[in-house]
Amino acid sequence: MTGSSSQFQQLEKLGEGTYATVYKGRNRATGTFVALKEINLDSEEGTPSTAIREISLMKELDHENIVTLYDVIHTENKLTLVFEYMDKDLKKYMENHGNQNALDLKIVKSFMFQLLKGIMFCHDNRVLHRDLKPQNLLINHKGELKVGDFGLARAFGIPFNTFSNEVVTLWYRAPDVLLGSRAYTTSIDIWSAGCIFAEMCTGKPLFPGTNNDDQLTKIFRIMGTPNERTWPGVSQYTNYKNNWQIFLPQDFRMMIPNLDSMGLNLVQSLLQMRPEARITARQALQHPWFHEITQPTPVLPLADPYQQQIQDQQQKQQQQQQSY
Amino acid sequence: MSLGGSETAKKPYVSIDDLYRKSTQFQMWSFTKSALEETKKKANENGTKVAKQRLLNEYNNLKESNRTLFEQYPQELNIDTIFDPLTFEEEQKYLHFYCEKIITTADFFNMATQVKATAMSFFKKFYLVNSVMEYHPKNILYTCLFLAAKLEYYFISIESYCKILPKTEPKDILDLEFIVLLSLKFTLLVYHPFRPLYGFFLDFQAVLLHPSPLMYDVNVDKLGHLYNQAKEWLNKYAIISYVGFMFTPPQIALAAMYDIDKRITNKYLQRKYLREQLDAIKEEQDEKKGQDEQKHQDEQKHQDEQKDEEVTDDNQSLESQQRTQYETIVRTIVKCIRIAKAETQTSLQESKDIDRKCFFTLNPAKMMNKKIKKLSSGTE
Repeated sequence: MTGSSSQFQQLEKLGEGTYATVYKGRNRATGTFVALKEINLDSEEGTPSTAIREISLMKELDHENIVTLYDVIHTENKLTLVFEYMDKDLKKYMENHGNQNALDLKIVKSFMFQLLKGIMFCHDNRVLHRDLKPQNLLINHKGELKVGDFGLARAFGIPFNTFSNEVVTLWYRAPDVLLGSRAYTTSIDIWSAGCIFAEMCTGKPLFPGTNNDDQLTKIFRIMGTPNERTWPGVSQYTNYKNNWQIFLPQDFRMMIPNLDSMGLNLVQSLLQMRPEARITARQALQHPWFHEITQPTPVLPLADPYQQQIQDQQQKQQQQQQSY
Repeated sequence: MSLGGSETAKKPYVSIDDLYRKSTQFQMWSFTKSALEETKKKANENGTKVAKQRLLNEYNNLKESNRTLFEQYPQELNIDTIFDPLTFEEEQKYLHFYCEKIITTADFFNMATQVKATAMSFFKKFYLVNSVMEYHPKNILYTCLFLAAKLEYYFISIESYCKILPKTEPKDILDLEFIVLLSLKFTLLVYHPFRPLYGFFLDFQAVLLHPSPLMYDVNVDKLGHLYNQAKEWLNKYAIISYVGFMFTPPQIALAAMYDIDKRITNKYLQRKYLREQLDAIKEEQDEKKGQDEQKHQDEQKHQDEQKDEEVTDDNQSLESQQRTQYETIVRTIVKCIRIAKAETQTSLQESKDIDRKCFFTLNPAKMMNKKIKKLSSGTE
């Protein structure tokens, strides 16, 4: 499956990744589009370790919500990763299709469901993405969302207490990481998913911090300033300060006014300050907010989603009784 | 339920076994013993063909310019006499020699076990696809180690790496990087037995020491000692052998423990496979008995007799099933130990001889010129 670079016609530039430039390409033989991620080979290091790690993980992750790596091509001084082509990233999608960047709730629901499925697959495979943000989520014309750019991802085994805390673009970075934690695990990706959820609903980044401290302040302003009572052990973090300005938790209904109560419940389960309190991707996928995806076919469209849930349960019970 | 979503929700937690079966290591790099042997033989055959072609090119050139000499010595300069490729056994010995070199080199750089083991896996995979008669193992070894270091978060610059390696330039390694990656088919994630070993160490404690010790002379210290020795065993036998291509990481970890202390490991396996389920059934039965006693004392006997019969029936099928499972595991482990320890030792002299041979198959011009020089000086 090794191709040569002449196999692909290079088209326009799509963007800059963490360590590479991405172009649109066309397979000369088949006419299909691909994304060409070009990595310059370093004379100091040869193939960058980020590229090696990305290749190693992408080869193991085969899932409908994770972008597929087709091939790796080597030319004189660069390495090209050939990925499946996606029309745009979520950031551009929101700019083009959103109402002042805010997306329709039906689309938000579909995207969140797909994002969480992709995250769950990574976590099941012991892989942390560590850099989830709208620019790394790719959308195609069929409305499929796939997680891309695993340049900062890593496989976690033991020990996972030695990661650098210089990962994840600031805006989507979890508070425990901002506080200096190096022992984080899958919960770090869940926080990012929560931030992206809110951003899709409102069209604006939830916590657009400019530096580490500002990022924390922006989070506290909405989530409330943590203390030993709300977050036991918070004072043990290296970046903890006892003179933080005290903010009270804000009502999420004010932050995301267009989201229904069940959706608000989900976003709050994702955006828990304490990492161990955040729900897992698997739990999130079972959240009632997704029932219209996971359990469609309602007999009558009911206004109250809680009623819907009760009816679903009744149906299930009836089915069980019938089967006896 | 109809849609994928609810299945996702219902699907039980993905076990490490499920994961492993989907990994490229299992899908692409796991063999039966005979298939592995076949793959190695094929690499040697291909290498022989390539080496012969390389020699033939040189041979024809030199024959052109040394016509008289070739006519004078038809015997000595016969291509079949000259061509001396590495046999399959020689190639395997040569590779084994270089596998040992990976360990000494990695130890010299103080690289973690993980780096060492990954490099070793890369190196062996490379020579399942290629032959030493195509690529000399020295620089391949350095390239594998360099790649493994980058993958496993051990940072070293190519400059400082090459400064320490004898007669090696950055270009020698960087030029080979892609060739190695390509031969590995870009599958770089390697699962090693060290993590499962640690898992077993914990589970041994849970099973053999709690709630109360099962063996009079086994305590935490004893298990800790077993764990450390098993780690050494993995370093000494597992990493260097090909067991990683034939057994799963947990099987190899258990093999290490079994070979270090058969008695303890066997007790663990028996407890795990033969007793655990029976214990559970017994407890359940006892519980039911207790409840029944309180409620219907009169009917008690009759009911219990019935229940006992059912349980015994279940036990038998379960028991035989579990016994088979247990026996399979022990058989697999014993086989793994045998293969891990069967790797041949190669003497330095033997390696030197093979080394010369390998050098000439890779550089036929040098060998031919030497021969011609010798023959023509003899005639003058």
